[in-house]
Amino acid sequence: MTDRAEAGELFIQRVFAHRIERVWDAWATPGAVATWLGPKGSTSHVVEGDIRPGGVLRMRMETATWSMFTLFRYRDVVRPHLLTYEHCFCDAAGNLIRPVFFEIWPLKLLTTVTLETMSAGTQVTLRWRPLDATPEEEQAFVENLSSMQGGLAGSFDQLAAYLAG
Amino acid sequence: MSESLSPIFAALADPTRRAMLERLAAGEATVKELAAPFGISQPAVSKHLKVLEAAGLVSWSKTAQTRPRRINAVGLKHARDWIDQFRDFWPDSFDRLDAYLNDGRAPR
Repeated sequence: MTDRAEAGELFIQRVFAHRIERVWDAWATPGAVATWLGPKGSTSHVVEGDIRPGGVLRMRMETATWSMFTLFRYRDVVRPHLLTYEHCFCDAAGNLIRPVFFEIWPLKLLTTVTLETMSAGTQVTLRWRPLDATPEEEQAFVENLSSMQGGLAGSFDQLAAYLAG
Repeated sequence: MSESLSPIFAALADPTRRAMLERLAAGEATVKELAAPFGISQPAVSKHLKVLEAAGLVSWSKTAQTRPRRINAVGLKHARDWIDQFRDFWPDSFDRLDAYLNDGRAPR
């Protein structure tokens, strides 16, 4: 695995000024994950949490405008270096669904989290890519990744500024 | 942009529709009024409006026979919030993780 983004995946990397065991616990303890995971202003509650190979973490995540259930299905749980899980959206009963606003979207995103000890702390590398997706679903993921970072968000900003003005 | 995108993204991907939204942001307008500045036919305008309406970005006033269209600010805000949160999901989460690691409290 390279140390940069590969085609068709979301890649994010950051060094946290803490020991690897502490960073690992933040990823591998259900209550801790619910505390920090999610966009600004969101809150999450653990519905079901069992982080081990074959286990799941199911959370209800909500903001002022939406709420949804998130389901993580764990594959590799290798303390304190490697965590892989399927990141899915689900309904209240745990059935996999697509997130609101997307007609076509991968049902499963494979998340790979690697932790490495660096001089400044612990480097966390996260990769997010479609799993078992059709070509159309993969395309939707890639198009949204790029458009989120570029033109579409920009045009929304312009429109919002216009509306506010 | 392909048709694989959701109605909201598909609606906003078109520059004419974005311009129509900006026009509507300034106030209600009939199909005839919307057609004039864009140099396109009224049926073409109606077609664009259908896409915007299906995406929940535009609604119409039932009081007048000309059915003037207006912007659906709630639909637009929800879409924008969702786009921001989707785009910022991991950067935000990493910020919140950092805050959690630093002081162990629930981050904002």
